[in-house]
Amino acid sequence: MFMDFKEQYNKLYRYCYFKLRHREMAEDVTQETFLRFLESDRYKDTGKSMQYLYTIARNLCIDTYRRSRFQISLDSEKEISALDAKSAVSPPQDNLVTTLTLKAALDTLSEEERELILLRYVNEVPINIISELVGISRFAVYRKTNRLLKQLETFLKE
Amino acid sequence: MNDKKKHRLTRPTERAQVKQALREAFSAPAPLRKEEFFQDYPLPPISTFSLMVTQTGYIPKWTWLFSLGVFVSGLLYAGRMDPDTLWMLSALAPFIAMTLISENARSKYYSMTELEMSCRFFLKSILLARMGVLALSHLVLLCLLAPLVHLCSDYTILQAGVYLLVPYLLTVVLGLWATRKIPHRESLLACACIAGTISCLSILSKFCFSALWSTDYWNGWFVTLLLLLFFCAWEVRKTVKQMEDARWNFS
Repeated sequence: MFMDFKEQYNKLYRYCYFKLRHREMAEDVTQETFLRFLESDRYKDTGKSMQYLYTIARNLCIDTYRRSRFQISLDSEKEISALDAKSAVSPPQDNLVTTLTLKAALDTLSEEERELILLRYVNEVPINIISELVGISRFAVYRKTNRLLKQLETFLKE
Repeated sequence: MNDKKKHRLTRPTERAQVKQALREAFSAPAPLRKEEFFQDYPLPPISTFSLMVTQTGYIPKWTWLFSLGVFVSGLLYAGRMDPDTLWMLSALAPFIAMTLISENARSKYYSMTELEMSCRFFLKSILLARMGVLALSHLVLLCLLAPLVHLCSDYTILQAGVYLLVPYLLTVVLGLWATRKIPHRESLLACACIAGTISCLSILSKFCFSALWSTDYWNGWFVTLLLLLFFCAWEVRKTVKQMEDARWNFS
């Protein structure tokens, strides 16, 4: 019934960071998500806590992005370049080539497809929750995520 | 053919590698204020019912088995229409009560009081939830046993209920008093002694003071029951207050 909030914090933060591309804002949105989750009693005891958390985070990310689009784009450029310079998120050396190739492959995907990949394979969100979050059927989520994974595998093989 | 087989065997590994690479590709810079946030993080509230349901799982199995054993013994005696069912059950009632009191003394016995007080829920809430669950289950048990006594004796269901409740409540009151006054591990031993003494008295009264169980003393039993209910509430209140004091000292 209860989630591991500390584990979910990291996952939600990654999701928000992916959406906003800004460390500070992603963390603010993550914390705001948890606080809003606590304020509402609607979903806590119905086993839909994770879905509720992601829905709040998604909506907050959209709001934040709309409010400060200009600031984000400027800051994120600075942040990405700074991070690249520091290699703060650099992958281990043995997987470096794979990860870089995969990043290039991910750039060929649309924003929605990248979100699906992140939710399904990185954050390990169950398919039923993803389907309700993005508003498509479970079968469609399953089909799309599998197709995208195959696409990435093919890209890596090439 | 062999290539196909090899391809099939390597495929899950490849997929796992891709997933691992995906995690790295989506890695974000480490959050800076996570620990700070969780230090002041208000944990989600929980309803009383949910707390009781959660705590039910932590009640030791032997507690439930004992209650089940008493019920089965009652059934067996009643099945034989044995008139001694009442005395047998009233002698066992203090031990049923002891299972409830032992929950109260358990954290003292294992020296866990301080640790439990630093946890998400106050020790008071946890113990009250567990004792509430046990008290409710015991009430159901006594409600099932009273008709059994009625079936194999001349006592009414109400009388049988009162005769079973009096030793039960007497054990609860004295047991709570003992756990409150006697420190550490000895409290559990004291509870066992109290339960044993009341059980023996119950059996002795059948042989030495059998008139006590006649309708002449019915009013006395009823008044005793009311008094015990009052003292039980009093002791529960005192125990809770003592836990609050302990929490105050701990903080």
